[in-house]
Amino acid sequence: MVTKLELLQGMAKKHGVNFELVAKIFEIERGHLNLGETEERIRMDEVIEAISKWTGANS
Amino acid sequence: MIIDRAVIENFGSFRGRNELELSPDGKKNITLIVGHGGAGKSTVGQAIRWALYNRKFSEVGESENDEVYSKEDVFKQFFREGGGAMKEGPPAENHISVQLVVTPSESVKKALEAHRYKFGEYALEREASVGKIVSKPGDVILPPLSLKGPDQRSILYPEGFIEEYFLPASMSSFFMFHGDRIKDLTRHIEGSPVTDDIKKVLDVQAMENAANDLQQIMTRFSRNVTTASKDDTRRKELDLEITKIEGQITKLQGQIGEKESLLKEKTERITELEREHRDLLDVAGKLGEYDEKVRAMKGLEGDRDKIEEKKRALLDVFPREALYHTLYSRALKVKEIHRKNEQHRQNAEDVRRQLSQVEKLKPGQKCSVCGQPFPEEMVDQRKKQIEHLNEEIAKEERAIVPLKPEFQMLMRTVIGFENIKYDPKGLQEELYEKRSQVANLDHDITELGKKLGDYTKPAVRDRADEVTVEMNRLSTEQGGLKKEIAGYKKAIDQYTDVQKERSRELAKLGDQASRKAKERFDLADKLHDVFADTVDELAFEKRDEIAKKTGKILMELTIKPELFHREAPVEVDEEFQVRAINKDGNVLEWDRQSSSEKTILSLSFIYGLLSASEKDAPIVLDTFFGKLDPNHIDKFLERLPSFGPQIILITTLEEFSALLDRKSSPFWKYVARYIFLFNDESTGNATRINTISSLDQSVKELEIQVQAKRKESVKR
Repeated sequence: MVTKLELLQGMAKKHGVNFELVAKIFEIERGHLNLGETEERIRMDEVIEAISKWTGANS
Repeated sequence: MIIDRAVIENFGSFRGRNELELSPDGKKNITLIVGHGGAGKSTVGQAIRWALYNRKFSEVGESENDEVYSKEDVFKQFFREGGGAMKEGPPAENHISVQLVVTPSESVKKALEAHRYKFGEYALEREASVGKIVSKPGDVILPPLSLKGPDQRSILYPEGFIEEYFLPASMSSFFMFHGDRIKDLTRHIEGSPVTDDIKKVLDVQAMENAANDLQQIMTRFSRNVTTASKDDTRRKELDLEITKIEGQITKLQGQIGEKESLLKEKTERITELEREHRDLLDVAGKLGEYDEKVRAMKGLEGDRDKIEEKKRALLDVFPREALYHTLYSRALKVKEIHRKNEQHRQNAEDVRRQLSQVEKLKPGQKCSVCGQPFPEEMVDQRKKQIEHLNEEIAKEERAIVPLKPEFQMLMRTVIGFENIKYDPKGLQEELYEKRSQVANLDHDITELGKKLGDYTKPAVRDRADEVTVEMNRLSTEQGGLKKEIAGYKKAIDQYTDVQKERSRELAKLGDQASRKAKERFDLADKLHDVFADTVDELAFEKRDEIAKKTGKILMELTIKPELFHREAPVEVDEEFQVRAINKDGNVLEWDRQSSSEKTILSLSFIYGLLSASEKDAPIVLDTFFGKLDPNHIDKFLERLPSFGPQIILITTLEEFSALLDRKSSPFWKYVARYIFLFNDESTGNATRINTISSLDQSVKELEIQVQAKRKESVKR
């Protein structure tokens, strides 16, 4: 059976996105979910920060 | 994760420091915790859950699943009063703690190391204390949870670490069970509340959230892209259009919210009706029981009447005075006296006959044979003999007891009816017994009658019909609402696509200065596609995996394989609702199945979900063998070792005794150790632990005790 990370890796490759960033965002979302639903805004701010840092680092 | 060890100190019924080894030993992955009721078995599960999550053990899908223990809960439930559980007054100990040694699963090793954590044993401790003088719930001090890594480094945010690298609390609800709850899972896996939990366990929910968040982030980024003046008009148009679309989406989301709240109401009403339907089935069962008891009582009343009739017949046959047992005994005595009198008369008569013979010898009389007179001394002897015989006669006559006339009548009566067995005492006892049986049944019938209230068979049938009709109506409405919601969602998707297109166009209009914003937008766009596509694939794969694995194990465990569809006995739909499929390909109605079959479906589902979750979670099964019938137990024991890397099986002495009857089962090869829990009377019935690693002599001794206990309970 295929694992979720393998699926995520495959999709990241298909869409040309670095898997490290994908994994980071997945971790943020999962963390928020496991600790109980947090406000969407807080979650999104963390994701935006991760994307911003990534583009900053790779620009 | 694996729970290697638990050290329970003064928690609940445990007194002092108690170390429980729980780790698997090679292929032996089962730890058996055995104890009688009140020995502290469930306290072990409670202690583990308290230490890890500080959350209560409750049903899957129920909101209280997330309920945290308050200071009052901790004080009342975990601290122990001098002789038992806390009620009031100061506790026996001022400090309680539960320490766990936990090893995260291999699958998180990389993630741990990426965050510079060591892979290995983590020591966790949760404690609580109260003051020595005044002790009340408000005095409970709950220090922060302590978690140390293999390098003795303290983890700063242990709760988050447990959720991320051990086992999330929501997921633990599926694997740490109390027996009663396992059966109830069938109710939930067919209903909606558990769907969200399954999605969380499988990480589908996290990916869905990621896709939705990224969608909104894209819109936000697109606005940050500044445009060149020549494209300003188009930018404004696009911005306006995006705003309008956002408005439409918000409106649609509002409508979805309304419909979902209606749907929730309907679902709740359906759940209530299902419960009522189950209650009605229960009532129908009770009505059957009621009828059976009434029939039994009629039989008993018949028996009782027969005995009373017999007793009345006896009263008619015997004269009134003979009814009293004392008189009856007296009559028997009189009869005996009469017999003795007769004997004495007979004796006197015999003596008289002898006397008449002796008296024939008169003084000077000659012998008829020799013609000589009898010697003088012989005559003296005869005289003495006559005197003696007269004395004998007088003695016998004196021995005759004069009987009063009424006794003589009594005696005649008794003699007249001596062939009839007169046993009023025995009859009375029999009568008492029948009366008591009738009274017990009457009590049961009254109690049942109270429970049944106004229910009668037709009333139950009518109400059940009403409930079914209402359930069907609500289900249709539910289906309609779901379709409406799906329609709105589809519309949102369409709007979202347009919004995305416009956002892309807006982003393209960006000049050099907004290159960074555009870059972020593009990245968010791609990330959104990654998560959206993965969610679809993942949900499809996991649904298929759960259905296959649950179905496979279900067919191995069930004793009624003919009930199920041979190729696909279990189905998981797009909403992650799990259903068993009958041989004709229709949904199997679980309410009609036995609680043993329900438990088997739940266990199969736990297995399927655990396999699909890609997590190594310990399975804690607390006193649930009582829910299984013997055939299911045999099959289940064979498969249990393959359920997971660590299985903690909590059983009562009776359940353990039933397991011991299955000595040839391969299950025993997988038992790493047996932890026996006893109440130690010398320490106020505190829990005492005895851990052994094999079925040695002490277990045999225990087996003897168990068998004795079993016999005793059967006798009782």
